[in-house]
Amino acid sequence: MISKAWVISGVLLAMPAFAEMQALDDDTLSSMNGQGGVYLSGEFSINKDGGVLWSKPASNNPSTWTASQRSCATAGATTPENCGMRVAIRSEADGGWYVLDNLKGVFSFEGLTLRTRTINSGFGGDGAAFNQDVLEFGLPNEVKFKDGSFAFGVANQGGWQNKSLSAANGGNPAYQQTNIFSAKIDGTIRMQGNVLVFPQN
Amino acid sequence: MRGLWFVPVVLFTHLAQAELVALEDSELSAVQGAGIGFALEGILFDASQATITINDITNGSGQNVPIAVKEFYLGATGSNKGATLNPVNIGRLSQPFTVSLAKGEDLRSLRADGAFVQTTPSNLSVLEFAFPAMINGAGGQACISGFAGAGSNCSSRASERVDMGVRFDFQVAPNRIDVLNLDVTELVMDGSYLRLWGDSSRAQLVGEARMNIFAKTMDLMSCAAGSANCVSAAEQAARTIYLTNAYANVSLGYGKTQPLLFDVTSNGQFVLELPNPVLNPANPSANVDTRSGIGKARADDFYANAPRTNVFIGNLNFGGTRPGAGQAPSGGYNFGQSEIRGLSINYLKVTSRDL
Amino acid sequence: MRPTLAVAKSALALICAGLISATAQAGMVELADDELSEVTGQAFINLTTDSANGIDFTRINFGMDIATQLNIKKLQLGLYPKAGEAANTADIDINNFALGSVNDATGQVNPFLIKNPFLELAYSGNKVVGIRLGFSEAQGYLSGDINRVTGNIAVDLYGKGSYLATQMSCAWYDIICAGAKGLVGGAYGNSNFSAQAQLVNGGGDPDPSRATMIGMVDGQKLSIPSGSGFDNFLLSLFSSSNCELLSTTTCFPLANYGSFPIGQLDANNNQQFVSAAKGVFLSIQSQNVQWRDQQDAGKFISALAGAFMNIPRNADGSAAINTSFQEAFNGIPRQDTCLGGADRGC
Repeated sequence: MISKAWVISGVLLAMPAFAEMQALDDDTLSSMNGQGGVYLSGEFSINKDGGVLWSKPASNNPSTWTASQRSCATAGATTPENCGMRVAIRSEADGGWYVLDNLKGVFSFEGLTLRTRTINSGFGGDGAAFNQDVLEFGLPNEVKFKDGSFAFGVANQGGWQNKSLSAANGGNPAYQQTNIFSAKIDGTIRMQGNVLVFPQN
Repeated sequence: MRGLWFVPVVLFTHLAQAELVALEDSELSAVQGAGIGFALEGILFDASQATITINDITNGSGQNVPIAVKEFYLGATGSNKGATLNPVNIGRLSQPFTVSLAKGEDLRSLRADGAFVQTTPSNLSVLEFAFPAMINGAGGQACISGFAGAGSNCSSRASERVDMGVRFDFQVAPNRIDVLNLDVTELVMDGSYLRLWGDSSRAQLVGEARMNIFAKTMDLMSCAAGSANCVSAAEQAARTIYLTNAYANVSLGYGKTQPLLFDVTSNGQFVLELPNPVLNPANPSANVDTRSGIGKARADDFYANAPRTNVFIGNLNFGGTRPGAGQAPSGGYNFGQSEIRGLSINYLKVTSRDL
Repeated sequence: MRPTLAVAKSALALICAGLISATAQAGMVELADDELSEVTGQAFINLTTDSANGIDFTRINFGMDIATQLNIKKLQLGLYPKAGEAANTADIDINNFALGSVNDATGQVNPFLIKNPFLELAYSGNKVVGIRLGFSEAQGYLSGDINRVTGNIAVDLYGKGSYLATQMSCAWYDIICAGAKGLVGGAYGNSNFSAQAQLVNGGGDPDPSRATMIGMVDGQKLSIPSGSGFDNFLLSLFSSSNCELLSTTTCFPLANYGSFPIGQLDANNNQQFVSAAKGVFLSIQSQNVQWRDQQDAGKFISALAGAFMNIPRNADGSAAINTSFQEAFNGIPRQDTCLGGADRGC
């Protein structure tokens, strides 16, 4: 027992002696090539269970909603749905608004890489002439969407207002939004490749 | 981590050492302004396992007509309609996709005769999103391989062209689904761009845009492969519309006198407008005589330099069969060649309305 | 066109106001599906289906008002060999095509107006056999140097007897012709004559495919719309044959017509339109397709295989294009469609 302890502590004592830190000089350091880079995986969910502005009403009939309720189900659907994020932009003084509405869902990816790379060859001959560093984003092999959706449209007010409620009840009969199109995405998109980013003079 | 610092240091030293010299026009056309370039290396997209549904298109009684988007793919040419997808490079290191902020007087656009002309107004900053640029002269590639009519100003080579496909299923009636299955080969979009800037006399964001689409072949099949009447090669061919050697140069806006205006009216409808280039934007109802003076100068400059829209289909065929990849089909109904050339818009106003 | 729009908008506003006030007063009432579609996000695109004569149709309607003045240097659709037609000709071949017109002195444009365009696909089973681009309403000048055109172009000719008589050339021995000329120029000199014209060939046969001429077909007669039964009985004795009627030429090369007014022109102001033409469309089809007439749901327009342009009669029988006999004989000068010096080719 005692001998083992001595051996262990002896080894422990001895190890620092072999691995003593020595400062590398600049020449040696600059010739080292480290593998720098980042590997990212992530999951984003936007308004998966609804947002902060509106709560989910009991029906899809806008005239039955209270002032803080809104359902974003598609036209003709029977069950109400939570609403996603809304972004509205106006590009003209006193003009109307471009609206990205009902942006919601779960978006996840694995294996997005980020590193710098020197390109001075390849690319069908372009690499040698290019001879610069680039920032390389490696696309994830798969991007998964779950219940993703968004709608693009135009409106005469930035915030959404209920057209079928009177102003006294918290609505605005003069509100008009024209949806140009909306989309829902579900499933996996397989992709591969790199996006190379570099400055242009 | 050292690499990241390396690049800006190089830029700064370079600027300090290079003496300022006025650029010739030909050199100026290559200057992009301050910006970021993107090139895509080894790209491949396959969304066949995802369901994308486009909503908000209603039928006559107000019910939603969902459009299912399936079988989306993007890969290298030679994919045989997406059956064998290989990765492809899009955008060259010498002519990448760019996002840049440039001065209006520095930006150029390729005119039909091969000259680069200024189309954006001077003395303001323009935000530009651009696809790989067009080249005039040495290094230009044929925009459609084996077809001279599309010009040789593209910068993307054969290895930078893509095959792309998508299928739309329209549930138009309870017992009817219309299918549109599009497969495009050797697609390239060089020379397309969107430029945005603020117009002070109109107090809004305005722009100009060009979209070039060149494709060796486009096949539009109106049934889903494997469904009824759509199994054998002969059945599928009879239900396909073939476009061969087709291209479109869509030009919207000429920044100097006819910027593209996209507004939203106060009653929630959108308005797309290309204003009359000879009128004074600060006072558009004032008459301007175009037979002489400033009016004639504006009209002559517009007709000489504003990019025009062209749509060309080398061969349109319904229901034939291609003897080989990229060749015009035989059989079926052959509509031959169709073109719209030199479309120039003096005025356009499109206002949406509720149906 | 604009007054109609304003009326429609205010009607819609009234209906919406009516609906909203009704719900406020009558308590909660469930909205019917079509009412619901009005109050949720309103879209400007909708999709409708149709079925007739064994063909299924799918139509995408765009709710849009378009005002435009444009020029196309070369418009050529369907350049392919067609049986019975000259080689190297196209179904539609128009140079210096233009929509709308301009006023060089003021720099203002007189735009071509289009309302509610649509795109329709014709299916035989699940095979696309035709595509058409239509305009619910169209109004304005359509200009061009027309080489060839395929389709159905309805033209109404009108004019006074006094002018018609000057175009009648009689041989010295032709007593009937001289008599008719005397009558037309004399007793009927102040009457308004009218005739229907369409695409023809030099022999007076209807030629809807790659036509180069427009005029009266064999057997077509003149009429006096406000005339008595006797007047029209007299006229019914004479009909156009081989592009001639009462020794007057009745077929004219399309190249003579620089501009066609689409819709009804104001009689006193040839830059002002008072009503639009309905049912204008451009289509391509791989077989003869019966497209439904937008003006009369019970009727169909038979489009030939190939490219096809339809500028039809309005529901009240009037043609989309109205020209005088004088213009028919002399040609219609092209409207100015280019700002600055030229009138075309800009």
